[in-house]
Amino acid sequence: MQSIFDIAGSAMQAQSIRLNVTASNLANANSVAGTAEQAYKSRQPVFAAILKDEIGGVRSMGIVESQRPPEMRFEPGHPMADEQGYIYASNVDTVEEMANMMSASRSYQTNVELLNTTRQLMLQTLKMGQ
Amino acid sequence: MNIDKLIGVHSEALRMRAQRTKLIATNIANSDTPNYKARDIAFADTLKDAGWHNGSKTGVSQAGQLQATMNTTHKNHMTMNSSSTKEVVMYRQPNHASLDGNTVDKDAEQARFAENSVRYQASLEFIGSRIGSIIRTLRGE
Repeated sequence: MQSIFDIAGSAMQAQSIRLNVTASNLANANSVAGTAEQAYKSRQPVFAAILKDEIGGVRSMGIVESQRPPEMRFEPGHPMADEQGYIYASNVDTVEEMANMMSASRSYQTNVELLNTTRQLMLQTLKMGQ
Repeated sequence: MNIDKLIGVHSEALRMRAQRTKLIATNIANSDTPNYKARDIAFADTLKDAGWHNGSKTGVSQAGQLQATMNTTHKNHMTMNSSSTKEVVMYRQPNHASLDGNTVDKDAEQARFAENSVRYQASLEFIGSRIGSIIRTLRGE
């Protein structure tokens, strides 16, 4: 039963990474840059199951950047505009990130509940036969 | 008098419930992992493997009869699980397909987790009351 704490803990860790990345994406949703390469690219964590003794938690294998092209805006008056007068906005999809945030926080809550239930079960097991 | 007989199926049920809690926790933890396949314990098969049928012990466990032994000649070799009760773990049939190959239905798993923990508590209660009655018998109250 103790390994449930590891499993739920790993899931909470993974979901908080996801929440962190989402926060970074949302914070940079309106960032602009002078070139397409410098524009902020939306980041997403990649989850993978930890397979140890058939049962295991989850971990974040790494963070990938979205390959969607950045939004080009014609703003010649902007201080960061290039020779053609374009600025490059981030490719973050705000609606998608909001949905991501809700999903991550729900998953986090579920795992906290899991921990609480398991803790109660273990405490009751300790009291067995008393 | 055999203490195992007094407690009956409940000790094995408790172990199975603990294992199932772990499996469902793994399923919930991996509810966002691409290509993860949800798993669960086949309860009837596990009970049969433990040698139980219609609430009574039928004797030799089927798993025990079928289990072959494996020799290990190196410290890195895997050994087979020697415990008499081996849970029969199977993949869950998904209700609907998902694009990332994940078959975890988070709400259904949560419901199963709740159900499983109630049943775990029920087994605990059964064992507790059996132990209580043994102690009362010994005291002669």
